[in-house]
Amino acid sequence: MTRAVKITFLVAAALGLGVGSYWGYSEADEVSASLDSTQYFVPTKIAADFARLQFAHSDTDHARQAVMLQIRLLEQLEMADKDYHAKDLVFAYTRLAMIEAAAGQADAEKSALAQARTHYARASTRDEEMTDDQLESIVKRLDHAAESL
Amino acid sequence: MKYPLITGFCGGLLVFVVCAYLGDRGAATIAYRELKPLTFESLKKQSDGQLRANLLTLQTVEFSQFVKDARPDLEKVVEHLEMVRNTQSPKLRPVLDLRIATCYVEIARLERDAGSAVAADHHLQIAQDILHSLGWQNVSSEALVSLTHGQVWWKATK
Repeated sequence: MTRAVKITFLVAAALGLGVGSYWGYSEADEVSASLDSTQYFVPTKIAADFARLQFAHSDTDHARQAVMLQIRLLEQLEMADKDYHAKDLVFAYTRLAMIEAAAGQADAEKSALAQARTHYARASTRDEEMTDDQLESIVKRLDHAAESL
Repeated sequence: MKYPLITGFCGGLLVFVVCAYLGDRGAATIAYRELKPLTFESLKKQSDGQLRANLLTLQTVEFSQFVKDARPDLEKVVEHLEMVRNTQSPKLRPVLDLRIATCYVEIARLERDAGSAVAADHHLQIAQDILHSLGWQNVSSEALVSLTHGQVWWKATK
């Protein structure tokens, strides 16, 4: 093997490693960034599914505990990560209001609906407000859709 | 060497491709280890790490659904979830319990299909007891089947 060929191979190896490393790092960085933007999707989905199932099948106390678990998780996430906006809080508080209504707790129901409206106003880009019935109707439709999946 | 130009070019190209591939895989592996996606690293310092631990537990619950539709695999999932249940925050126990109950319903279905009615009834009873403890008012067969609708195997066979 001549010296020129040896140098060619060495340059090719160095170039290959350099280019390959750049590709590999860029790819990992891109995938990691996209996973970071959706990283809370899985745990919040599990909490939402749990609240939905408990709301559908369990007694009032257990359903309330389940939806409170979801609300606490979403609120903690919002506090811990300023870039995260838990839009699901609208539906979680609406579900809490539905539970309180079933339990005959009118004040707690009103308070939960007020929270739902506040979160809706914060999350929505539209000026119009949602009525309590509209919020409940959305939660029921979302539940129905989740059960049909 | 007969054709130094051709050998140099072709050999160099081959060396370049092989090294680029190795560099790509090596850098990607190291970068994934450093960046640690889906491990909620940014929350490590928050709330003494409890929030991060809770998120990882909930993630475990989700990933436990991607299991082979076979009794030994489901039993392993139950074992793992029970271990997580006993070591993690008590607040998340109901979520883990519901998933464990779902696994028992699936195990019971497989046992019934295999003709082991006694074992199936036993595991169904365990699932019903768990669901009662979660406040479920109706633990009929129909209600239990609705629990497993979200499972991957169920979607694959319907």
